[in-house]
Amino acid sequence: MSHHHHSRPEDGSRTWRTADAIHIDLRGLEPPEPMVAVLRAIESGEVDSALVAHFDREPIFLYPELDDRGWSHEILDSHCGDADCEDGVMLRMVRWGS
Amino acid sequence: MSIAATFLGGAKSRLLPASIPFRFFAAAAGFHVLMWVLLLTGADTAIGFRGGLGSPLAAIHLLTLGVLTTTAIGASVQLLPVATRRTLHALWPIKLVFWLTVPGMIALIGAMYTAQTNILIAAAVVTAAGLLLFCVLLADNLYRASNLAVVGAYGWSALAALVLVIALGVALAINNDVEVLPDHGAAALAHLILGGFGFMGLLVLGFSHILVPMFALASAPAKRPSFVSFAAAAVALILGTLGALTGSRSLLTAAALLGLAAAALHLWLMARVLKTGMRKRLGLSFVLVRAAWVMLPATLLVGLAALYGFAGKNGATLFGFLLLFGWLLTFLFAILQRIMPFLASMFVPPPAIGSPAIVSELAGAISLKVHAVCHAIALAVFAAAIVLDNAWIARLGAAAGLAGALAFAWFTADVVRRMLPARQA
Repeated sequence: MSHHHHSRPEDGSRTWRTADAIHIDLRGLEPPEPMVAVLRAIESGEVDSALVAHFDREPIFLYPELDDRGWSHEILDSHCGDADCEDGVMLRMVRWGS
Repeated sequence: MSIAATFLGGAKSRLLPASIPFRFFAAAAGFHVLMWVLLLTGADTAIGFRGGLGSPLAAIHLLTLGVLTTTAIGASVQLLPVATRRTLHALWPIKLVFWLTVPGMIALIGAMYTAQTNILIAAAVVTAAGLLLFCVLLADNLYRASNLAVVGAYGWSALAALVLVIALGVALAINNDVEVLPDHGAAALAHLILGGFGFMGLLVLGFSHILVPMFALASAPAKRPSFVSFAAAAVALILGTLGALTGSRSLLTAAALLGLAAAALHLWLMARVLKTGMRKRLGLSFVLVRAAWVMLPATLLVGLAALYGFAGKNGATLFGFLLLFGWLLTFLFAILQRIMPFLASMFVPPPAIGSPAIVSELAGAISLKVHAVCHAIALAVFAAAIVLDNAWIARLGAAAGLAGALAFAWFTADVVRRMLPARQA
């Protein structure tokens, strides 16, 4: 996947769509807002493929919530190529069986 | 490596080895059992306790140091590095904290029980050294968490209170042998206020701003009222400490009234969080959280009544009991029973599709229900025993508390047992 797909669009919107996933940028939000935003997104039913969320920090309390809702998760390597996001975490989530 | 293991590899990246937090949680579970044993065997002196070495003082420190502080250390070293995005540089400092504090506490509490002042002072110094090392680790983490404004404010204040609690604690230990304090009772009350409302209380209030919205799946409370609530609590703590040290009833009254205002605002913020949360069925842990929330203003009201002699013969004892056992211990077990299964889930492979996740499975454990019921009975019955000044009623309350403590220890052992095969694999 090319690097620009992982970057936030220039219009500043926090969500955007790539060929294989919906992205949501949750960096800069205070906990537990990022976790709540992910759960709102997956419960809205609007995520038809995968959801890739961009976090400042690893959302460890999100994992059991995803398990409970039948979603699996994996951490992606950072592709932003920017020293500022060296500590950022990208999490790819898909519904089990999809 | 299986896909599950790959996922877990990522998830585990910033977590300490399970043995680090769980050694603190296991120690706390053991201290909790011992605490109720001492209250059972020393019920006659506990119900009217006003201070001095012996069984009640040992029981109180089994609670404050053994259960509350030990759990706070275990949870914060595990959770803060995740929140602040930095792994701890090395594991040896936190292991050293354990090996200084836990054996130090055992010796200290043993010396309080047997009233051996020479051991008391040495053990107090060792425990203090361990706690000060923890302060350094906590300060390092809070310094990096500069973007968590509300939690940071509570965290730094709790840390400052802990340093003062340690200093006063060591001075009180020495004062049992060589008189260094002008008024032992005044310093002991300041030590209780700084430890209960300051170190533990501020940690509880601060972490609530992240943990309660996280469990309820809601946004964090608004910043401005959160800071107002924090400022009121911090000023109340300062007034209360000064009031205790100077023996000023008007300062203590002002502290209690301001503390009530801070508590009211805090509880209003928390109620709004629950109201707006996506999760409405919050389970057993929130029954305990709500009970703890009732206990916070109740503690302050009883404290106020005791100041003016309206809380009966053992009013001061009831105030301390409600503070430590009612508010802090109840809240701590509410959170601990949520956090322990969650941490365990990070160290065992994800469940097969269709089977319950370990978190939901452990959250429904019978041992937790037994603990909650026994804890509630113990609180109500022991509080009644203090009011009625009746040792036999206190023994019944302590027996219920002991049964609850054994159930919680069983739950802790169950969580650890589930992690063992995963660690060996």
